[in-house]
Amino acid sequence: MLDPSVFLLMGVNILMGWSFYVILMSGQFSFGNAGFMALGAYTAGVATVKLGLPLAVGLLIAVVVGAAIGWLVGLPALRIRGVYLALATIAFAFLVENLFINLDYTGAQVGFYGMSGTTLPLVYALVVALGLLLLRLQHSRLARSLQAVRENEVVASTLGLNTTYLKLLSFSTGAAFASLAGALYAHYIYFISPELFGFFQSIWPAFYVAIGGPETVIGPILGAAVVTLLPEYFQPLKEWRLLVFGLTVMALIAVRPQGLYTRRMQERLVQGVLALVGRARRRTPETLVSPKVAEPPFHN
Amino acid sequence: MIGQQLLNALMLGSNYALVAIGYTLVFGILNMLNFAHPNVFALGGFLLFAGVASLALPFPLAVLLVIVGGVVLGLATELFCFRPAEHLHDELAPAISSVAFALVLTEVVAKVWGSEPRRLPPLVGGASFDLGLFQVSTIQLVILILSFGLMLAVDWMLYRTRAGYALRAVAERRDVAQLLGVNVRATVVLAFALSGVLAALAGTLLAMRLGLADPNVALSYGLRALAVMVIGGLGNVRGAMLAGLLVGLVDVMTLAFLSQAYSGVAAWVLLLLVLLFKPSGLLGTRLQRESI
Repeated sequence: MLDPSVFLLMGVNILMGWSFYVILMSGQFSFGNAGFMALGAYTAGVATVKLGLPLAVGLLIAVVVGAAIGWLVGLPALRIRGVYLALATIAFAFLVENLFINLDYTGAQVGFYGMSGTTLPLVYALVVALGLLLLRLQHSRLARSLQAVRENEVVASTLGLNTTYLKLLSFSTGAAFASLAGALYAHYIYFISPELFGFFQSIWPAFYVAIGGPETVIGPILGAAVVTLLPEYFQPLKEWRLLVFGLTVMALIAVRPQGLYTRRMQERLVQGVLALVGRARRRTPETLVSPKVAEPPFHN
Repeated sequence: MIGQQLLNALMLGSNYALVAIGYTLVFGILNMLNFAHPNVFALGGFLLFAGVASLALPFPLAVLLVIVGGVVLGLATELFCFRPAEHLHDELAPAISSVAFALVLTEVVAKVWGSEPRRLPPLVGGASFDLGLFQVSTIQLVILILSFGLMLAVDWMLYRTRAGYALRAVAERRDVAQLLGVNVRATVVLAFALSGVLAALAGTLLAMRLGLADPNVALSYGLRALAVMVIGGLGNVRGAMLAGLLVGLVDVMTLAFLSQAYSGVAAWVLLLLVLLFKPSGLLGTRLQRESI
């Protein structure tokens, strides 16, 4: 039997996975989400410990700060894209880590402590609520617009979409997700220090998305579950478990580079369930499943 | 004093440059980031340690061991991380698979050599030369000559040999290169092998400079070389050399005149400045197409 705390961390990781996923929806890669996670953890921590505010307010502050800083970071970052943006976000995360290493107000290198109050139901209430929101948005006009930006930005802008706004929105939403995850994490582990938010913390969300599948909301959940739970099940392997874990991830990606759960599977699943329920005739599947976006006729 | 700092900057900078060239070779051809690269770099130091300390080989043979190790690791990265996802044209899966490979390499180093830095035996006699402005020891001289020799060799190979033409052609336009009869598969494999060798040798040179093989250099020096790659211009080998020296200089100067707390950040601040004002990099002429 696994420790319940593993499931709490899994919930935090799901939120981190979505933070990467939401930014990926507009075709951008962020390898700096640990920076936003750290910002959320520290601002919420300062709010509850130093200012004595309740946890709910702390979480709200973390979300607002995360979204605002995501927006500010996104503004200049929108001049750049692809690998340039990915590297700019890595740089951002390093700067944030360095800021907290040198910031005496929050204990600098030693760390900052006193946060508590995150419970399993709280984490999963938020995960379920945000997951439903993302699922609800999956076939919305907004999601389709983001998809258009991802497939081809030039075409999207000729269709009259405000690509700058869409990219900023997805980037800052992703930042808010990471910030919320950081706030929850901080109030669970009681003690935070800058090295908790290093480079690997930024890379893990990309792991969840790549393993679970980057096309659906469910994918990052599966990925977070695999990455969080596998090392637990590898406990008997003792000090070999990280090695085996790394090899397992490589094997998983080699066998299913498209991720464990793809949009095709989701469509089949939805159709299967509908057929089972017998509503397939009343509602045509076309309105429920997303059509595959055709490959653009040319590459720039 | 300033002369000594310049010498340090030169050694650090050429090291950054060598690692960055390895990144840029793979990126130029596949448009993908290889996150196993910094760990091959760290492993280079340990291969030298294994050669000279554990196996008691003479220095040239130990370097040969490092080269073979670098080739094997480069080929393994291509085979296990990048080839399986090739047909998808997806940048995320291979990048993440290479992170997993980096994790595996970290664990292997920790299993074989422990997670603490290992001290290298003295490699070259301790004589040092006084050049007026600064003193240079024999080992520093060897490191400098090897570093710049390697950079010149890579440059020569890329611009003067058939394999180099093939590499640059595939980086420019993969499909056109294939139409013109370039063996793309072999060229990709060559890029990975070359990048692995450069990383391993850079790791060896760094270990020689520090006098120890340190597993932590992967996340510090190794990642900073990623910033160096962009500062120089993606996929641009000469740019990577120039940017490496520049970042080395900035790094050493921050350490000397500011504070240790900010020494690691210099490269990243420089990266952000370059991205804001000249996103194509110092020597870059065009922006890479939108992919990672």
